[in-house]
Amino acid sequence: MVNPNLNKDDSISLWQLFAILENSILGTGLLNIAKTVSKVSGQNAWISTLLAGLIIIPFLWCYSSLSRRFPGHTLVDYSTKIVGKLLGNMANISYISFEILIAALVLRIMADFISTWFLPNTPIESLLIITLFLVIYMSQGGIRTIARTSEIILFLVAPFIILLIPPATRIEINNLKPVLQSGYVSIIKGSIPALYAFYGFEVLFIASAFISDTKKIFRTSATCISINVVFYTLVVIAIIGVMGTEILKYINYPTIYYIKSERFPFFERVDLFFAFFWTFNIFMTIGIAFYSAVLGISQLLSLKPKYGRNVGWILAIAVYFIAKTPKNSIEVTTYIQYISYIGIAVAILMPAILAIVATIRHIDVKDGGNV
Amino acid sequence: MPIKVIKRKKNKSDKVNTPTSSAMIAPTATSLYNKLEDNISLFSALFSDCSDVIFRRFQIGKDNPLLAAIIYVDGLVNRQSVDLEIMEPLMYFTRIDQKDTMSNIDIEIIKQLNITVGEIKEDQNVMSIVNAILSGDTAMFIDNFPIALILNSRGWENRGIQEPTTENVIRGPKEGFTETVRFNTALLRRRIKDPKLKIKGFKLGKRTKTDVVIAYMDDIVNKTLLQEVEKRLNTIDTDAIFESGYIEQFIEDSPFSPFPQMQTTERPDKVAGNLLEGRVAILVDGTPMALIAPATFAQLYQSPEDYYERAIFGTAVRLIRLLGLFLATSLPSFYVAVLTYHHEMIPTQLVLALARSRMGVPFPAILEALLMEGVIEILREATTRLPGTIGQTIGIIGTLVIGQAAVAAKLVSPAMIIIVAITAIGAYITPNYSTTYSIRFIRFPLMLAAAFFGVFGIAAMWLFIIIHLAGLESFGIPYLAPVAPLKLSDIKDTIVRLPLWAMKKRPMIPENRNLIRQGSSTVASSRRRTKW
Repeated sequence: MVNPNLNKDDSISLWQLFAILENSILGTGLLNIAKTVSKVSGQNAWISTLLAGLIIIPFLWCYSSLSRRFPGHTLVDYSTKIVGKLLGNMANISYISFEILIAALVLRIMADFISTWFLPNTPIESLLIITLFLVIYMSQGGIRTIARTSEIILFLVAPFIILLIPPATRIEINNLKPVLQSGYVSIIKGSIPALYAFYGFEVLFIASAFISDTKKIFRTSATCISINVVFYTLVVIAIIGVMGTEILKYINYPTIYYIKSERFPFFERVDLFFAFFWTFNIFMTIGIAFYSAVLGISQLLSLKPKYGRNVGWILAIAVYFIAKTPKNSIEVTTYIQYISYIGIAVAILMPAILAIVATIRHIDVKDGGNV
Repeated sequence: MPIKVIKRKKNKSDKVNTPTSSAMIAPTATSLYNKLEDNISLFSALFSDCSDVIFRRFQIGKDNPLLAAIIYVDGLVNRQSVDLEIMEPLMYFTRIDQKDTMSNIDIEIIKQLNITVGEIKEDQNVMSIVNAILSGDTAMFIDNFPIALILNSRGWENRGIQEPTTENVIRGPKEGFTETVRFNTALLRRRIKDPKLKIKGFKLGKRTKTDVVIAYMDDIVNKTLLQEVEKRLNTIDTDAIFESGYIEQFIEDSPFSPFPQMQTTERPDKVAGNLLEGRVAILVDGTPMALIAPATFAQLYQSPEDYYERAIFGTAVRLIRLLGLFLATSLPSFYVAVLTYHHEMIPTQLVLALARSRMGVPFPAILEALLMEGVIEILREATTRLPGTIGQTIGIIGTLVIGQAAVAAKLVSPAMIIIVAITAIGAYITPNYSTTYSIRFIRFPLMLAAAFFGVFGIAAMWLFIIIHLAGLESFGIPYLAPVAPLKLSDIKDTIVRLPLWAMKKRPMIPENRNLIRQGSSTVASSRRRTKW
């Protein structure tokens, strides 16, 4: 039962899983969700957001089913058992590549974001490198360090969400009307860019291996996603309600502008404080995706833990160059669209297929040979 | 009685050494000789050129005297005790029956001699006798017995129990530990009158042979933790243990972390409180500083006084300490970051005020900050080393010169002086002295990060610290517990401090075996239900 590739002392509680998921999901998505979604579905973007979240929740059950069949095992351990060596390794590699892409693009967005809002004259390369060092440092600490850091960051950043409330008093209902005017097709299409804000839950492929109480994984992850669905939907409603869809076409990171639109006494630029603390969340998104990729690779190559933790150094170079590939933030946006589509395959369909095949073939940890 | 050198072939199985000539008495012998004079020469060889070791020969009893000698270290023994409780009764009042000749007196009779000393042990091993003598015991040798009686006559000049110098409280006991480990264990016993309080002794340091004791509550402490502490103590292989810091360095989990992974305290009430939460205390002879393992980050911000004062203020003070921690570490770096990169982050009026105060200052913000923080560290270090009387004077002169003259000379801005003052004071808000080092020196990398990357640098540095703290463990206990990993039931005594009657259970961290601290029917909680 015990997976030889994972340290058996490494186990996390359900609350820590919640913290990891929350940190992994919250990140750059929040900053741009109103813009990317409203581009497709206009003032009905909030419906698309709601829809995207609700689509995900049933698929969380597939993750949970897989982890109940293979307690203590990650995707890399069980994929080959379920669909055979070739297809299984393809699944592994696509998952790892997806995490690398997420880490790299979010890293790039973070660097762009920092350089736009805080350090216009600093070359983004230096920001990338510093963040990568931190990410490597965190990935070497293993799941326990990541889980604890996630908890701290969650406590640290959660209070700042209050800052999203005061500007909401100026919502103009007219900005949100007419409901469903853009048509069902565009609303459904709009949910695809909205998915980007929810990605991060695919860390369940890795993180659920460290949970001993596998029965409650679905409950925890569904709670987490539900909170985010509500949160994002409210944010989208508030932003579109306050700013209207027209302005959103011309600005990047509308969430920050949305906070900026309210004048707070004494602290004039509360948006900067929000942005400052939000970078912690963005960093955690990168860190968790990076760690998933590191662990995935070291398991794929069946490296010993002491070598496996150093995979990060090589991976960081790859992440750096991927992050450098987009020439400007417009290109980053196109890449995000690709990510959203890839994510449908990797984070949503793949667990479903694996879970269905495992159920049909009645494969679980006992049939797994040496697993 | 003349020395009789008995010529007998040395029997190896015989534990008693019998030298063929006095030349064979080597200081390397491991067990005692039969003859008193041989033993005396053995020990005088061992203690050659040790003028503080006193050899005293005397006779036991008057009528049929036995030859005896005592060895002790002058200054380590209570002279009165040696004179009046060991020698006087033996010389004047001990009667040995006529029929008890040398040959048939056995060890039992010896042990029942008139010695009015509380603790008597017998010993045959030369090295352990030497250790006992050097620890302040008196060793007594009697002719024809290859055995030494170790009489506890310890008593040396020591500092009395005084108010702790590093951890002052306004309300609470003013007793602090002293340099003598026995007094310290007595202070613990006086607080916990329970036979379950175990005090286990070790001797560490090959040359210093320092007495080290670990104290724990037998029915509360987690046995794995206890075994781990003992195991780590037993791995210490060193010449000298002078202070509990030596032990700390040998047994801590991450030696290169800037954060202390054990609590150091000189307050017996703090140690007693921690023992009752299932921790293990390590007390070292020669230092008033006791170690408590395991430690968590939250604990370093707790003072015993939090529990003595009203719960609301206990909580308030803890929040203030957290604020102090934040200001002491990050205020100068925010100053640097804001002035260098992000003028827009602070209100316009404040920016203008800062700009006006910096008018004419030739240094960039980072140099100004490094300069002032560096100077304040120098001043602080110097005032600790300065002799008491001039320390005050120099301190005042130093602050005046730096505060007034530097501003007047336009070398630094007045705003910087305020920030330096806040950080200097804020670093001492922690009740644990070792932690002040961490706080004081973390702010330098933070300032540099702020100078290079503004608030992003601060965020990155903080993340680095948070990740580091999240990875730290002290004897298997996560350093950031009970916040990360979250133990909701322990929050009651972490950031907040609930009233004592609300803390019915011991904290879950460290894991302990006896969770219930008090019943549900304490006076306070029953009073709560009473309708007035």
